[in-house]
Amino acid sequence: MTRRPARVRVEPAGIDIAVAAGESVFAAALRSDLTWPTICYGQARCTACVLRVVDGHQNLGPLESVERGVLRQLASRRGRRPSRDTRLACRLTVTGDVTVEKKGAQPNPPGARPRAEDPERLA
Amino acid sequence: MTIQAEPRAPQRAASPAFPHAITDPSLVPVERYFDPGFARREKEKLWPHAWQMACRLDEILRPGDFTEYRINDQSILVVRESADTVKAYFNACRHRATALGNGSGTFHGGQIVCPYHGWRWNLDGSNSYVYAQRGFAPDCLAPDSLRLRECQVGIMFGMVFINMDPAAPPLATALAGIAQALAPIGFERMRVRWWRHLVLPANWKMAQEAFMEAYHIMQAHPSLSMGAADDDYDIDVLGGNFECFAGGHAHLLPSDGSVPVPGMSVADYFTQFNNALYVGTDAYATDREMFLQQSLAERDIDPNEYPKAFFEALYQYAAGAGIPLPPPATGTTGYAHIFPNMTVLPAYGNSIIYRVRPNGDDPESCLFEVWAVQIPAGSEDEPDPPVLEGPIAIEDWPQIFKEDFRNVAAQQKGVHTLGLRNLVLSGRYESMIVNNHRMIDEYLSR
Ligand code: FES
Ligand code: FES
Ligand SMILES: [Fe+2]
Repeated sequence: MTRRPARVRVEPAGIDIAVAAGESVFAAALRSDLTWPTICYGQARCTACVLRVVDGHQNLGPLESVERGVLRQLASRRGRRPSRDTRLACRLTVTGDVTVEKKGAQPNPPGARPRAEDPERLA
Repeated sequence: MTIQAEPRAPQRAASPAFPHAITDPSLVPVERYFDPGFARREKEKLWPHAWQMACRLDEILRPGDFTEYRINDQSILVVRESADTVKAYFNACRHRATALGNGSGTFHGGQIVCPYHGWRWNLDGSNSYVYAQRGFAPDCLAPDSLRLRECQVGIMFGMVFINMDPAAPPLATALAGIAQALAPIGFERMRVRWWRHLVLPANWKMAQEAFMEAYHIMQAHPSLSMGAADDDYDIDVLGGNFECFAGGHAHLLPSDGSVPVPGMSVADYFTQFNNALYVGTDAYATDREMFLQQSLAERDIDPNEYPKAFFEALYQYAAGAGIPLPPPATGTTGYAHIFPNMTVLPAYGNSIIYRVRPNGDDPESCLFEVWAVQIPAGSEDEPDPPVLEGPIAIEDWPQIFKEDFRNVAAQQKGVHTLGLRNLVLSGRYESMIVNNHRMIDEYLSR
């Protein structure tokens, strides 16, 4: 089954990216020539890709066990309980339009490859 | 059996070159199925040098997709590098050996990243990042020492084959004969309907040999012998004419189309054979062929002309549904073995595909996989990568598989009994097995 790609707005850069069915927001961002903080390149290990969901919660794909485990660890590192607004971009799929906040997500300088960033510099 | 002289004439040792080598092609020493020394020899001399299927191309559709192939104690990452290139890397970090991937997934951003200290590689195997390089001796940072170690890769039949030996001849040479024989079948057009596996308590060769002859149909599969007992069932009609190739491969040549069951019409045999496999394997014949048979049942067809009517209906249906069936193969039935560990049983743009591997170092356990594949109606969208189901217990398989798997387990029990020194093989009906052992010994004596 195919549907039209969902639109994910990335703040504060204010960029829209198209995310296909089953695709992660992280994969869509790299495909759309954005730099997105990471050091594991999408393996649900580094937590650098973490984002905050601002709007469109009803369109979020399911939270699977690997992502849940990583998010729990991240929350406890920050001395908090996990929030449903916090998701890993490399595991988050969407079924419709969503707005997220991710500092450090920005257009690639021309010709550059995706850059690794400090994992503690979080959303 | 006939053996073609390409790529290299088979050599047969007159006296055993190593323990449990075959000296008479019709006798297989039982130790080949359980002796740890023999399994070790295969581990050293066969698997690291033989071409073997590592995955299907449709498991790694997009750049960055990877899957891990395991054989004995080796782990190899098969990686889609670009739309038309695939690479295979030994799954070990060049720093301190950490496995770089596990199972299957996608390396995003074109980067393979070690989870331990963060060294990184591009999909082409070149290193792209070493953390705090200043701490390493310059020699350790030379691009060549950092580069991931590769296996040879070859693509055929919609499958990715690998060879760990950089000196091995290319895939096309290793598969000479069988590549040409099977080309008309159109394997590369097929996609996975299902992919299931089990762990069988038997040597990998024992397990696959249950699928490398039709000689067992009379006794083991009542639904296929259809009441014909003993020599009434004519095995020569569908299991006596194999063409064997020097590389260890073989296939069954077409027969004259006569019926192996006395007194049965061509139409009855043809339809009941399909029905039995449809129910008994959930593959080979599928809903598609059952639907065609149903619609033909309403027509008045000369029983002797039934196959012709069936194929006409099949091609008409395929054309209407946009299914790119290749023209009927005339030089092969398609039933074939690809050395060392794959067996295929195609029909009507479908196929059953078997792959069998040793289960780690245990000579009496193997991983047995079955794919049911089919040429789908043409469309833009590639389906998602197939997912392996199982392990599924013997008793939970469809009837025909169950009958085969039970025999395999019983054979593995039997090979240990005192006083049994060899299995006995028919040079006519079991020549696919004979030829496979011959080629195994070529590897083991190198
Ligand atoms: S990219 Fe590392 S956890 Fe998502
Ligand atoms: S073991 Fe891979 S980076 Fe150290
Ligand atoms: Fe069988």
